[in-house]
Amino acid sequence: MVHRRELNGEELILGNQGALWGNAMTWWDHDTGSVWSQPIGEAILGPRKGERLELLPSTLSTWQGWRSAHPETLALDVNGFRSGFDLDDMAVVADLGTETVAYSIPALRDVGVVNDVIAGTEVAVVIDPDDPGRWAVFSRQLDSDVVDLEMSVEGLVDIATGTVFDPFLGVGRSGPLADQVLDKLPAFTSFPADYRTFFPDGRTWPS
Amino acid sequence: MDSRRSSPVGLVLAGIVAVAAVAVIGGRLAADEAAADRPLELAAPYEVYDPVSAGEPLPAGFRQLLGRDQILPVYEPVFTEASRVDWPDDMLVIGVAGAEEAKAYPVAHLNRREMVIDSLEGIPILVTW
Repeated sequence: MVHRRELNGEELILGNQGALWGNAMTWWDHDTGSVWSQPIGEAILGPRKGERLELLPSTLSTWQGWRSAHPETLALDVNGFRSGFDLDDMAVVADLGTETVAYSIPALRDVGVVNDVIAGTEVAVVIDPDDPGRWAVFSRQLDSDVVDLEMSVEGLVDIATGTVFDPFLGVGRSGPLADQVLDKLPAFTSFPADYRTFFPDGRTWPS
Repeated sequence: MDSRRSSPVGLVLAGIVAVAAVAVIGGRLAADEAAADRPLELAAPYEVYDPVSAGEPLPAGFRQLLGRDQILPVYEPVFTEASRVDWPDDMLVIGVAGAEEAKAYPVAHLNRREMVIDSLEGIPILVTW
């Protein structure tokens, strides 16, 4: 997950509290010592209790998928590591503040794209069926239109106008709306049990 | 490692700290890295208020297992160009992108360090796993 570590314009330095809450990590901030919960980005103890950090868009991807979408990307300087994670055990969670929805990754792979409405916002959840590390959540609201999207061999297609968008960057490629860009929305991947712990009122797809 | 630490005194100090950590903890790689990576200008955890040791009522299910920063965050990340790493194509990364800048953080490294204190296009960000 990626959070903006800024509160009322003030930059926060955060460390590892070494404690778990709801089986998820907690942080401490260096100036007040408040303790923060990672999955909700909220201080649960200390002077900042109840304050919240903004969740920012990020992508869990294979290195190949990320690099092809962002050829100029910088890479965190570490020695080589491998991960043995199975994305089919996870869900893509879209968190729009007042409503949260978890989309099962294997079910997403069956359809490629889901058009949905979360907290009053028209969204599309997109995944590459062959590389589930590549997914994105977009707003379907453009300047004046709301688009309904489907996956085709060319990319993400607006059913009404035939406009093709890049499925992971949201950039228009061809068609009447090619000069427009779908906005990316905050989302992350989670195991279902963790999602139920932190978002007990959250919706799941398929329901 | 902190690429900005360039003075010979700083390097020697870092070396002493790292050697001391190995001597005390018996060569655990994580501890060695932790001592060498800890930015010297940051507040020590024990100098800062801790709601847990202060006895604030804890929420149900809260478990303090380790000390603060015992798993040391990457406080001063260093980056390299994509062409200079030989990561496997199927390796998982967390990626963030702005209009001009994009950064990738290998999940396997985040498994060990859990937190990266960073910025993207001047916006302070926290990357966690």
